[in-house]
Amino acid sequence: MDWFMEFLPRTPERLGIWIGVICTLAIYSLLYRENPFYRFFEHMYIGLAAGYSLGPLGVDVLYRYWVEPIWVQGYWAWAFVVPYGMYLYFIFSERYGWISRIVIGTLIGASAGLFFQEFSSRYLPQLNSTLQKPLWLSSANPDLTVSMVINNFLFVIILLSVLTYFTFSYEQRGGVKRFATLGRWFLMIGLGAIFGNTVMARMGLLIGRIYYILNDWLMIPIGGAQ
Amino acid sequence: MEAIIPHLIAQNIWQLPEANRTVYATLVVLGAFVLVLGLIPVLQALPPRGRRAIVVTVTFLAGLLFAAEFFLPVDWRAIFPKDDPTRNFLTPAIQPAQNVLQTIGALALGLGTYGLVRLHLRNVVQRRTQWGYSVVLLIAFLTMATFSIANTLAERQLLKLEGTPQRVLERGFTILFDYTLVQLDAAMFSLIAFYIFSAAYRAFRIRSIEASILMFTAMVVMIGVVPLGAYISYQLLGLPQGPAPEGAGLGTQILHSIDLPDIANWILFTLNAPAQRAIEFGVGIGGLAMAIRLWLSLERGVT
Repeated sequence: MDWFMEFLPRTPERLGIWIGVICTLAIYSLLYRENPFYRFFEHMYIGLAAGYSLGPLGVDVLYRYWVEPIWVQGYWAWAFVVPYGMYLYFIFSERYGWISRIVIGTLIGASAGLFFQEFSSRYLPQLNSTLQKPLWLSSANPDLTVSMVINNFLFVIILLSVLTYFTFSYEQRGGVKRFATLGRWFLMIGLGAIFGNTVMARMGLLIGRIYYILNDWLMIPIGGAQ
Repeated sequence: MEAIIPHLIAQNIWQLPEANRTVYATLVVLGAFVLVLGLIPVLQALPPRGRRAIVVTVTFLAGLLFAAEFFLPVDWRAIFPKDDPTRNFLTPAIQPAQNVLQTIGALALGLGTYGLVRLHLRNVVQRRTQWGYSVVLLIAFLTMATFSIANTLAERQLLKLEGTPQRVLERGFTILFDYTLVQLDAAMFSLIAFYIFSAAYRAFRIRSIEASILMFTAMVVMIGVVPLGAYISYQLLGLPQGPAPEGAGLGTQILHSIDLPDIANWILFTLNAPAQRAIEFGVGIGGLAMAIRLWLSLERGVT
């Protein structure tokens, strides 16, 4: 009887857990088939997600990067940013629609420019670390072991073979083709590992949901939980 | 206005005076709106070629700042003796430029929201099929938007609530965010766990060397990274746990490294990492080529 009284949504916390469980079960009802219960919560999810983003991604960003610099710090040049950005809304007009492409062009041009910076900060260090991998034992690297050297060799061979597989500039024949085939097999190992990791990550989420239903809602202690 | 002009000249030309700053700032913003929106008739009067030239020029200039900042060498002390040697003269402009992009991005969010609301409002007004779900979406959107914006303003101390309104805001936001949105989000993404298995079945039943390698690797990784892998290796097969003792023979060393968790780790960090790096290099070079095409407006239909 005590368990049942605690189970009922009589406190705000219990009510919240009940709402969470109803949401979870509604989404899982899709596993049976498409149904109105699922559709209701699916639309609610889209509405809530879109509504939520207006706070931290809309109002907060506008306050931090536009209102505060002008009204608090007094930097007047920022005043032009929002009127300029408002050109985006001409996208809905047939007559003035092209004006929105000026702002879209700004975003695209800046993204392209930023990619140059990203390329140097992301890919060049990776290339550098690959080229610096020691491939033989020497007194310069006393901590290096045979297994590390073998792994480094494997690393370089896999990298080169996969890059060869992705080279489409010329027809691959003979040894190059065999090397590219090896690259494809290594690529399959990589994709298998990614797939396995993704499955386990999703399973982690599923276990989290089951734990929420059993432990938080039904109050069945699992894994040492009280 | 009399005070502002001498101030701009004598003090900091980019900053409004502290006295009456709110009034000046409001006037400047209104002026900016009038000026920028007043440009529309001028822009509209341009011929198609002129319009395209403007879009191409703006795209190029927007990218030029970041590209030039990246390509120009650092240490400009020969030209600007007081400059910091670890950066060039464009570096201080990068952060403000990124803030401008963030602001425009926030406005673009409104664009998406407007599109969503317009579509569902139309569904409701025209009583289209299943318009009831659109009502649900609109109510959820309006409720959450109100609480989310109010909560953001309250966090920034721009909205000062006390007593019952404050409690309503806190409780309402908790129910909508923590107990509803977060739960729906987790449930929606965990749903993929079920579908990923059916996808795996379809992928693995293809009988080829590649499919076999993919399946074998995925199985080893999946079993190896969970306690089941350790149980099979140490309890069922009786393999020794942990690293081999120093000076151990080759056989002992091999026995210490063929347990499933170690094999899964080796696959992830020795075989998977270089394959992924090769893919990333390809993506990076492709991205660089695409960035140049977009920057120079060679990609038709985008700008």
